[in-house]
Amino acid sequence: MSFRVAVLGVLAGVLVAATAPPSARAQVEDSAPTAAPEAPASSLDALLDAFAAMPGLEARFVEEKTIGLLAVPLVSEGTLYFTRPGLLYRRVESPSPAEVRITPTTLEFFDGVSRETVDLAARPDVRLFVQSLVWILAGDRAALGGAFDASYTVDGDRWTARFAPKVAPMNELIEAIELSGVGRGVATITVRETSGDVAVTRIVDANPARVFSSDERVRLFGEASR
Amino acid sequence: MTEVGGRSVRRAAWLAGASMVALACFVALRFSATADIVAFMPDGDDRQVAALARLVADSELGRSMVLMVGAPDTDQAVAAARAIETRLIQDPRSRDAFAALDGEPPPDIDRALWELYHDRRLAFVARTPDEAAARATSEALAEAANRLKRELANPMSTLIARVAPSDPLLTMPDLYDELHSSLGGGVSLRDGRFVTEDGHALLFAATRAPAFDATAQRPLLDAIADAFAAENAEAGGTLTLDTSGVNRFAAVTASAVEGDVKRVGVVSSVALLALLFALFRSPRVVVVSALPVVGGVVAGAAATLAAYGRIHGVTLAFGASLIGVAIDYVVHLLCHHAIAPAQSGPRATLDRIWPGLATGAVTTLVGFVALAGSSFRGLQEVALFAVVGISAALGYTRWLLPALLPQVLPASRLRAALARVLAVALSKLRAQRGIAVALLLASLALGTFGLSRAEWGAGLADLGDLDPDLLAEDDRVRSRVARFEQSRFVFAEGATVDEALEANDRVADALRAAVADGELAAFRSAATFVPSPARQRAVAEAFTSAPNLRDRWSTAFVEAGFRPEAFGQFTQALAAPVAPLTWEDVMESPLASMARTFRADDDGRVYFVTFLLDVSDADALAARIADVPGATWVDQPAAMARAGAAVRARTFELFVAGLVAVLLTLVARYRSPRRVAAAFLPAVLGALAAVGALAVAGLAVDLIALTALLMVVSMGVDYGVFLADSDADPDDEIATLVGVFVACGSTVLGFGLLAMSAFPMLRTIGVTAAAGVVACLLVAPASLILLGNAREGEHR
Repeated sequence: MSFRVAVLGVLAGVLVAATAPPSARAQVEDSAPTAAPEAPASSLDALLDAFAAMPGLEARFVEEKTIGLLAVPLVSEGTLYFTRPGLLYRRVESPSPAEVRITPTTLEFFDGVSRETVDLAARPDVRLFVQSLVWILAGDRAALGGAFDASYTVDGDRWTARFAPKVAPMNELIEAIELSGVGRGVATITVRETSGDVAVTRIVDANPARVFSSDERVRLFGEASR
Repeated sequence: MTEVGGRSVRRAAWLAGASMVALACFVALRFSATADIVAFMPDGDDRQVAALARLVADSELGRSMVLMVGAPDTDQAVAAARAIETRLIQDPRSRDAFAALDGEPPPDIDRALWELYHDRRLAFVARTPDEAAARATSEALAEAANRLKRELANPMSTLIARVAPSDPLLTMPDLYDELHSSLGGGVSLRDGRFVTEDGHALLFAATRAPAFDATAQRPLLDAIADAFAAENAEAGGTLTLDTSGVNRFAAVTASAVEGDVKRVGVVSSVALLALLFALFRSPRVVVVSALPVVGGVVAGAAATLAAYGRIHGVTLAFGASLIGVAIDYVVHLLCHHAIAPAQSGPRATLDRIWPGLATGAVTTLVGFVALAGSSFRGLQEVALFAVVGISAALGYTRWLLPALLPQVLPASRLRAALARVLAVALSKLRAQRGIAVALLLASLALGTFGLSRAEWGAGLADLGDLDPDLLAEDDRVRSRVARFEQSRFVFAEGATVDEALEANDRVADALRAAVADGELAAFRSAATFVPSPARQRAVAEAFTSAPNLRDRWSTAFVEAGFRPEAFGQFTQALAAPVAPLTWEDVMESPLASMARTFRADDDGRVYFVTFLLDVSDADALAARIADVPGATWVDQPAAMARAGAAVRARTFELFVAGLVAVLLTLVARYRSPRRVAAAFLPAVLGALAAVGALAVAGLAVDLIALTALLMVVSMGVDYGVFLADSDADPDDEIATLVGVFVACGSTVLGFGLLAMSAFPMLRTIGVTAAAGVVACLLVAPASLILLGNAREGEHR
């Protein structure tokens, strides 16, 4: 079990109460839509239904992390893969390679040197933290409803879905996860932390109808996807 | 017998009977048996290794168990393990027997780790002061800044970002990872419960009673078996249970020993009583004749319990064997009382044969007294049991038996027939000396064959073969859970906890160098989570006192893109004193159950044990540890082999010394080379024949065999002495021959059954003694005839 996982439960009770570093909130600008402009979903349910109907997703992304400890944001680029029933593979290609693979039962890290797997069944608190994005992309209303207060707003062809954690320890670490887009496409995924740190992931090129072959599923999502 | 003499005999009998009852009560109240192999570790050479090995055996480590539950899938295994744990907690046999029973990590362990270490993180910034100083160089600080930046780029940076303001060197994450790997190699969690990588659920347990306390361990093991059986029945027989623990081997061994000893005791007793009844046709005689034997065993047991607090299984086996030795005296008296009785009754008969009886007993005692010089506590126990038991049996024969025997024994057809047959056989032997020569040569040939083919056992490893099924089960668990070596350790020692922890730090330093040099794969040490207070202070001091640390740290982190003002908690900590973590702090935390397995106290000293993984160069490791003050390298197999060789040699010396002592006793008694030879030759040839029988049976001449040989010599001398003492009178001679024959038969009955034991120690005793005494029986009259008896001497 790594520190990253082990300390999660502690952080909520100990660190959040400690002095949080000052942080500059990022000014998030939505990027260009990833699909042809269509009318946005009329409601959150409609948006989640659309996600649920998505066979798979492959998207290039650029992530910008604004962290209070750092003078300038950290920028990374890579590719995101998602398929049902809740398999996510996130590969960072620059500035240094890293991988995260999430299945319904495991979380796997690879930082270019060492690989580590965490059993999510053993840590329901960590599972919530790790799988929240997966639930959103899978349109899993039942799972999301138990863990988040969700809201949805539409402004012309632009929409924003906001998921605010309502259970500890996640609500002590994360203020909200926001998805925004134009029409039916997702443009940005923003994670706002209670410390003020913000991570904005811009989707620059997405295929929301991606179908993965068996070999691809194993290669990208691991043996558990068989 | 005069009236005064009669009163004196009765008074002696009453006193003897009262002493027997008192000793029996003492034994009944204090009886406690053990199969602790540690009793057979030497106290001489390798004394420290033996002491530390005992420490491991008696420590919580030695009391630990792992229960591994298998099922068609991991979730079922986890549920079954949870249910078994519940059953064990509810079962009164196991509820109080477990000092710990854990199927999951201690609650709040992560919080406990944080609270224990966060404020002391600068004392854990490195393992040694030198490493701490190295972490404070500008280059190392620059690398620390870059590492933090890389970590912050990871998806889980939320957590790192929370820790970094107080811990930019990421000491806490590193410590967490190291501690968690210390908590259990090969073990992960499923649904919050311990599981193996291949999906077995685990229960870690520690028993309150020492592993070798078979009496306490048996009910606990039964409770585990019952809990599993009940759960498996509910699961339709789909579950498996593999268990690891020294206590299982101890319980099985103790059961085997006790079972065999009980069988031998019951069967040989019944057979002996039947034989005595057939020979003497008197229930009174049968009952009375058992008293010296029973009294001898009771006295031996009482002495052993008084001296050691419990009796080893081997000593018990010798106790059963005592029946074969002590009954010789009774049979000798009964045969003379029946075949060549004194006019005035059994007391007078006893007085006539007493010199022979006493000489036989003294030679036996001399043989066993030699054993007391052994460096094995177990053999010293055997010597005490035998010397006291035989002395008591002889005493009861002299002072109790005559008062209880009838004046005249009823006629017996079997006795008469046996006397006739043996008289004929003896006269044929006298007439055809070639047969006697052939018997001696046959014994000599068997002995020569035995000496040429004998396998000289180490003396220790042969003492207890481990049950192969249990061993395989143990391996199944260990291969998944704890692959650390079970017989090689490093001990750190000190007069106080802090002193022992300082030695433990030095051991960890040496072992890290050994790992780097490929001498072992890894090790598990308390130094990981609780270095000595002195080491913690030194590490913190080495880091925080580095010149211009704060400025250089700030420069390095600014160059990496950080805002130094965000790390106020860290810069404040650099100036604050560090209160070291103490052993007491750890023992008051949820880490206590894990920490306890590293410590053992003995005789006012504190020890910390370090566990080793995959030792590839034991010699280099031993040499490295030898240079560490306060550290001891414990290689049990090597120490046992060294000790075994030394002890076997020592026991052989004792055996020879015993022979010499027996010889000197005979010289003092007879002062005649012919008679000394007649009394001594059967013993020597009997022992040689026993060595031959061991070779034929494929058994090693080990420590136990040597001890049994000593007993053969003692009994062989008995036979020789009895015959040598009685050959002046034909009736006495026939009475003695019948007595020797019956005594031999009774010994073979007892020892023959031991030879069929599944327990190697008992089997060796049985084969050695049975073959030896039979050879003694055949050689004793043959050698007497060849050397010429008293009457022939008179004729010449």
